[in-house]
Amino acid sequence: MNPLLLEVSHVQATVEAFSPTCWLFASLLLGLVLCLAFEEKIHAKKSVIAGFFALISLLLGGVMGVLELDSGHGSHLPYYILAIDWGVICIILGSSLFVDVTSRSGLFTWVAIKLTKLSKGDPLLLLWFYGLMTVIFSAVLNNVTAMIIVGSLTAVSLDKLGKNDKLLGFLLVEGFLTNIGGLLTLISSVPNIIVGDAAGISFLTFFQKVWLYVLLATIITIFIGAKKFGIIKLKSDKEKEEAALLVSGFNENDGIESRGFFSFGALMLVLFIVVIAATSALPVINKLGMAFVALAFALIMLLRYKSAVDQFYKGLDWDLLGFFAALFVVINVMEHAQVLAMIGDGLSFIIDLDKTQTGLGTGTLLVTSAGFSSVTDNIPLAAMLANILQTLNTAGDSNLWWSVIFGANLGGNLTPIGSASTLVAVTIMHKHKLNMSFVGFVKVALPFALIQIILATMYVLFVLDFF
Amino acid sequence: MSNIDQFESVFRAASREIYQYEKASINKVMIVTDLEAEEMLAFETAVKKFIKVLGAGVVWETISGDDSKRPDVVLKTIEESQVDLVVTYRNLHSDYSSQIYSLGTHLDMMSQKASAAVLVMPHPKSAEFTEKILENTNHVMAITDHLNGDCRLVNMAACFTASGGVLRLSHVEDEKSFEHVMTALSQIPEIDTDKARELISHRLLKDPTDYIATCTVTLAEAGVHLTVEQVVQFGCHLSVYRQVIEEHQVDLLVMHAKDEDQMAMHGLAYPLAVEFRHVPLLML
Repeated sequence: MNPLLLEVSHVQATVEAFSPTCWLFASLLLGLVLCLAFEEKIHAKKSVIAGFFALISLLLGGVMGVLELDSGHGSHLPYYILAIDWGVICIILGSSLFVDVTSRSGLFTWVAIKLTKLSKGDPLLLLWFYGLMTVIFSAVLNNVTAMIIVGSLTAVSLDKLGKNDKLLGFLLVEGFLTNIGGLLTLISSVPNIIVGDAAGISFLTFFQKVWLYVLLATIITIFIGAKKFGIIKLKSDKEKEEAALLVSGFNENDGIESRGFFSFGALMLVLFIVVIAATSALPVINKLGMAFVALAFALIMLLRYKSAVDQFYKGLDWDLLGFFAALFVVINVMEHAQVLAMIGDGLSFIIDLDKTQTGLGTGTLLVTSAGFSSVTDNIPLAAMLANILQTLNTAGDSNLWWSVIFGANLGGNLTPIGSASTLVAVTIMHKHKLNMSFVGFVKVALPFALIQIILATMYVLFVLDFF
Repeated sequence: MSNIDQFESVFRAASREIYQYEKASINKVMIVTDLEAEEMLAFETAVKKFIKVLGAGVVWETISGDDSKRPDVVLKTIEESQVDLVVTYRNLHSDYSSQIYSLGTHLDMMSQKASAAVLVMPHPKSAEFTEKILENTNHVMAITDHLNGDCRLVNMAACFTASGGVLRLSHVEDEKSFEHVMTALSQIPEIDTDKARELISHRLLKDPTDYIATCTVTLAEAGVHLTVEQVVQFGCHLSVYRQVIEEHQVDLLVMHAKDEDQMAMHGLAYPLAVEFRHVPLLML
């Protein structure tokens, strides 16, 4: 955890849990969660919503004496700056820039088109290839970028093949797989970063623990998706020949501006993954942390466009970064107002279930996390639960952390607003005039999400400890 | 590059139209004339010499005199005979000397309604009908404003190009239309006009250029002995084609005259057909 954050976190509590003040702040937190859930309805960006609640929380906290704004943390920096976990913000900032500049090399489109051609236009093979690509891109890049790349290629290639009727099925399966792929590494999704950071889970440990689940869930999801959406192999030789000819029209080299930069981009991507994975084992780097690695790699890539870097700065998701900053402030205030302690008290009931019946608490926490994650943003949920588990002195090797990680990621598959990547999938559907209502999505997604969550619960309870 | 539209654009740009070579099959040709017997024979001889590239196996039919007088009857005969090519000339059954800016009613109907391709020769009695012009089809030019993916046009043009000859594939983007769009773009503050001009013009010419490159490779692989040259540029159709025809002494122009919206004859083909009276035209 951020040491600065620790400093501002562990001040003497001036508020009792379950006191009227505590309930007041709890209602603010509930307001934030509800506003985020209805973000689309209230036509406001996440950063504005969270920023507004951060502002109110800070003011109320100051006025009501919940926060000691002028002392206690021994720093000249303002309270709200210290409340932000800059490590997480910098990982997201650095990796977003790195991915954005690397994508200019044409590397990701090259891989995507190569796989399309390799499928020879067969829809079933295409679903498997795109599914696996979604998982790997989600793991290596992030699930939103993965969905954008694979989803847009799917729309173009199915259009070329005259299989537009299969687009909905493809996009749904890919959307589900982004959240499965988002489980594969510590940096694949923001909940992983937050919970992993709080629990002290290393990149390698994270991967070792989850790879088997990701593999199983991917295979099951694609298999069921193919059956449910009627995505089958081409039968006649004529169909195969025509499809192969159509996809042969794709030129994977079209997006490559420079062969040198393409090779450099590929090399840097491999190095990035290796260094991130080995961060905890590398002297000096282990002290500087993953955020340093992400920023350093972004800076090296930016050298290619050193005179035009502003285009990449413009392309950053400032809404997401602003949202994180504001969210950390809100969570910090809630901690001081004993709201997290109050929730933790309720949560300890679930956790204590483990004492009477092994695994019941872990399983319930996973399912509950998934349920909450499906209707609200999984980032504040992960941040809040990570903070609570930390406050409850949960051991770093406890499966409860994994319950939060699995639940926060997989819950996103239950509803279209459950994760940013499924929202991207729905956006692509709407762009291509495919009707997909909230209820319609839930109806289709429910069997997939239930299978994934049940599988995850079994995995956390019975398999995870073997790794 | 971080949004859906940007990536869709990248993938669409990477998606090329594939040219597929298929030897055009022209087995039955019908000559339609309004000439007297002797002149008709001379015309037939000239035509057979001009398109000798079709080979010796072609079956020739001729309708003339009263049989070719009514355009609807001619059209019916063409369809019933199931010919692959109709050969005729401008101002069939009309006065070629007074109606030089018209193809004539017969050709209007044939070029738009006949399912077969129509080869339009200069009027046999006109000054344009010279032995030199009708010598061979060594230089053939396919004309269109949308070459990308047009396999039929390329295959027909290739079929009529004499062995060892030059097939010129052209794609001329209308400069006036482009400027019209650019004027509109220049009035939208959110769009960088210079950047838009550069990117759009590059994109408009890239697709046909790439397509011609695949045509060149595919024709060579298929063993078609000819040289492919390209004319891909912005400009006014008439002036660009006039310049190319004069510079390279083009023997035959190949173009579409039919489309679903009946726009081909009203768009590019008719003005060209009227303007280039001395060059034989193959109307698809």
